[in-house]
Amino acid sequence: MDNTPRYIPNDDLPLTRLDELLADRAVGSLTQAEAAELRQLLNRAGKSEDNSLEIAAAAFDRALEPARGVVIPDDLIERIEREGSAWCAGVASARENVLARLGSSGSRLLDSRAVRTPMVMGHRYLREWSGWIATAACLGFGAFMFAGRFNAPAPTGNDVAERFAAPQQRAVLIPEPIAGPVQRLAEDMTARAFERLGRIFSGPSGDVVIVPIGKAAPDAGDEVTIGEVVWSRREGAGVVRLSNIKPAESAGKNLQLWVFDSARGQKHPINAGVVPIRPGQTDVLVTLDPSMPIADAAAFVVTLEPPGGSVVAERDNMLAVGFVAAGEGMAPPPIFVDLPVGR
Amino acid sequence: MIPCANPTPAPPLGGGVPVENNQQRVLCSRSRVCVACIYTRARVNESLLHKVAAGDAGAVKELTRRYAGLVYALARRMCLSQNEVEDAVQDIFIALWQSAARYNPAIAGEDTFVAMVARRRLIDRRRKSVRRRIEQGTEDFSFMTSDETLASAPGAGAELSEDARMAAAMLQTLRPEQQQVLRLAVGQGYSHEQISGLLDLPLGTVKTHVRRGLISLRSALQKHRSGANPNRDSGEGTEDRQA
Repeated sequence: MDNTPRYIPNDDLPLTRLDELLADRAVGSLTQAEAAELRQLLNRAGKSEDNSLEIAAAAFDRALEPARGVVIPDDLIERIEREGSAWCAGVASARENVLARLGSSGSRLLDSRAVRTPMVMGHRYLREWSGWIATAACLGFGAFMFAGRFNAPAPTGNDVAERFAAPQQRAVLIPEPIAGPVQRLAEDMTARAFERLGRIFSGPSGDVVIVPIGKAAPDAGDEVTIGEVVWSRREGAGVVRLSNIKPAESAGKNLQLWVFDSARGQKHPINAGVVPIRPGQTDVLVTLDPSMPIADAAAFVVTLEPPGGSVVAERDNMLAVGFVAAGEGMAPPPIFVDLPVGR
Repeated sequence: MIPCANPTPAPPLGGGVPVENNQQRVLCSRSRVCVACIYTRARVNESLLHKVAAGDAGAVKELTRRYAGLVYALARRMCLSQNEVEDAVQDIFIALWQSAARYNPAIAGEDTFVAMVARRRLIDRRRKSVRRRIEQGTEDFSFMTSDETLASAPGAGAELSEDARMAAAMLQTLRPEQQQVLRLAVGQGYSHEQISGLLDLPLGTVKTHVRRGLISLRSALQKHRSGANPNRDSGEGTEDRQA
């Protein structure tokens, strides 16, 4: 009997650049430049994420080093269990709120502590953001920003929560299933955005900033692109909702999200994600994930860019913009929960 | 109102979960069933991780009991210092609770998912730690050996899942050199450059061994799972990078 091990050659496996980068990430050998390249390749492939090689690495890890028995400090287990109990209580509380809402017809159970977040621009913003404001004005944002459109009924926590949480809104955001990676990506993104909202609004009071963003129509009566950013200072991340995106304007383009950090100034916007949009799609709800930590979010901008996004934000491509008023914050309305969508 | 697309909504369960509310029957983003049905269904056929995602305190405790050993061992093995281990373990469990809803049993075993989340957090943590040490001029790239992580208490480790058993079998089919590279890269957390120096292999060869090894296993796992479940999804988006 031949006892020589039979090794299966895998030298002929095709290696795409995407696979190379995914494999390198799975073993923690990705540089920052490669991480950026990976994000671009995933975007181009219409994927929000691909964990397949991390799963393979985890399986190898388990096979290589099965946990043969370790001594874990008792107090560590206790701490984890204590935190786990607190986490469960938070989930239960949020769920009760949502379930109460699902069971009620029109009753408003949002927290009365929710304060209005007027779209006010402090002097420092008027001065510091003059370049972007000038561009916005040229594109018709001026009327939107300064003619009182936002100064009138500024969205409250209630308004925003209603818009985000209304079940009908979910159906609108994802109309009819369309086969293909872009549809799936859109669904993933929307599911993640709802989860993010749940987390943000479960956070501490005063952490959440809700900023109206939008674009004004040059002519009265036109449908305008409008929405909100819900931003968590604590997490340095948020969610963007946009409605009334004009298909003719967005055809063949991706939305790119940017965050301006007052610590970095208006010349260095931080990329916060690229969002493919389907032909005819007019509404999006996506997470806002800055590629760098944000110390003090001052403004949010959405631009229309070629597929895959751009390295530099061009003012001419601006679709929507919103500015955070200094010192702004609001109590979170206790409405959202990590709904088990997308199982 | 958009009707629920689920022809046979699941019956209500205990625990105060409301399932009958025709006024609220709308399509959810993916499953095309009403929100209430999703709640109910999620309670019917969920794994331990799904129960955790639903905020089940008993499940959270069970998850800790079942996987604390695995997570602790991984943290001991991949953390640069002992001081960081306990922080890392707590951090990993929080990430697990938050991302538990994304677990898809059609893509990976539960312990593989736990190991994946843990590895990801540990890799992030190690990268930050190395960067900090470099900035402070106190870099030390040495890692604990796996022997240091193993102690006497039996039974703390979770049993090997099907994924891990398949990976173990697969490992045996690789050439010894490739096995060794994978052990160092995946199991010990050594960088490509470190492995190249340790084994006196060209850097490109090290990278290729790691990449091809992982891709081979991915193919085998996917083939196996698609055979077991023809409706399976791919591995995309199993767990949020934010986790």
